Amino acid sequence: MANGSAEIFEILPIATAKFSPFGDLLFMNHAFRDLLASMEASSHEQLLPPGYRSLIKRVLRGKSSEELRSVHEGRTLHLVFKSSEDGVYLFVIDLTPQEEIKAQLSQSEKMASLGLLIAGLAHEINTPLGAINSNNDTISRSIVRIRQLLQNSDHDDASARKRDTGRLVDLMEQVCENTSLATERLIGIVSSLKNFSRLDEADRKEADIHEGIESTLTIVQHKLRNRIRVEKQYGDIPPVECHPNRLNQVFMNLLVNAAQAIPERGTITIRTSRAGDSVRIAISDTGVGIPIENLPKIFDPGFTTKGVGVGTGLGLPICFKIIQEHQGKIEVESSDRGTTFTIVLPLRQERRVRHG
Amino acid sequence: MAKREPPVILLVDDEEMILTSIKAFFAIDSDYDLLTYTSPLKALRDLETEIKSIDLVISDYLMPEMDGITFLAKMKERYPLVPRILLTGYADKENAIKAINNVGLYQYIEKPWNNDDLRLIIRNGLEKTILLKQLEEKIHEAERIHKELSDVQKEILRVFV
Repeated sequence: MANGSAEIFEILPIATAKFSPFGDLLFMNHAFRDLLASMEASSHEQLLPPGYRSLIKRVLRGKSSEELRSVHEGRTLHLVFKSSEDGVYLFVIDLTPQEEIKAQLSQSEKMASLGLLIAGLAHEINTPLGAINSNNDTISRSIVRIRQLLQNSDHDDASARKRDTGRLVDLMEQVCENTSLATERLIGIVSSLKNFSRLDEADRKEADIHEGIESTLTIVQHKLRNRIRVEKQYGDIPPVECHPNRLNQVFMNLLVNAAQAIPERGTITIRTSRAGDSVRIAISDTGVGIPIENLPKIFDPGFTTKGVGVGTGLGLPICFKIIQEHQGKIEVESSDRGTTFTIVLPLRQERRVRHG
Repeated sequence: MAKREPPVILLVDDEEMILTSIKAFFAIDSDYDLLTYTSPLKALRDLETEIKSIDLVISDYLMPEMDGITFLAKMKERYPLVPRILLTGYADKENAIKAINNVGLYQYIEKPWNNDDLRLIIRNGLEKTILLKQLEEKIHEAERIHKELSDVQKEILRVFV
């Protein structure tokens, strides 16, 4: 190598190293040494996958390049191997700051959907709570009245007293039935919340997909109301190994999007089926559809057409990421008659090795 | 003066349980004539054909067929003097302000409500209706008397001048 190019590599701000055709380190630049020092790594080998020597030979033989992600001590590194005449260059890009920003964004999306969730829940809870509160007051007042009727027994006309008491007892009975209905409603809301919060358990587990869809539907019900009919075409599917909470987040984002895509009245159809070693979940709406020029962008973080305060542009990227984490696929089809998102999830999760 | 008819209150909420609760409360010691509807559209249809007189309107906000603000705006067109009350479980001040400005809301009540407050608001609202009606009657009467007097004046002038 000419001295000039060595000098350029030395001052290059990207961590760069060069390997011999046998995988021995020929040199590393200043940025590479800084990276090692910042990671408290004593040798470049700590950043590389175990079989890196054969990788280098393979790249050199094919006169090609290979890229891979490496996670080391909480740092996410992007490694690029590129063949040259007499060896292989390695460029290392530290993705940790970007990863941190992504994590923060996903956190802020979580908070945004939490706010939405709470506003909706407040409404759902206030109706039965309002009824119970008023019913209790009505019963208290009725009791006071009945007690007065009983105490004034000397003066009052007995048959009028009996009629008035009977009327109040009937009223209390009616109000108690109404309170039972309202209480059942509240119990339903709380139990769906319990199902939802199960998502925070970090462990994978076998879960019933239909149960997840149902508890998510309960939560988004206030957005659908009677405006949108939900049609369920549930197939016979086995339990799926997954993070149920994260999948519920996906269902919620897709259902909320579907509801927002329907301007007035319409239908959301949820279909599930088994396809070999995987399950398919399709959520279709009869909404306005996604313009064809926007289709390639919908999974990009920050892309939104919903306007300020409505969309964060992170709903679908989060769906994409969660499905990817489940080794599944999410696909979209859209026309001016509506949109269908199809999720394919494997029944079992393969254990993956992150390195290399 | 003839015996006053019980005041007619129109109450619209898509949740039957809210209608039942409020009806039960007013069944204890009021003589209000409560007309209740779970459908704002049906209420509007019935107002078109059957019901003639309304003294006060209470409407829920979030309803599947039509939101409460739109419903109250339609009520304002038909019964401009009748007080309009929005009863809402939606913790959203923005909508309340919008409603107060657009529809000229008389009151805004949040769910869960207090029955004493509800009764007081309704009582004051009805009083306002009655006062407005009385004022209208007085104006009519004053106009009538004014017309009579000016007729008499004309007659006098005709006879003596």
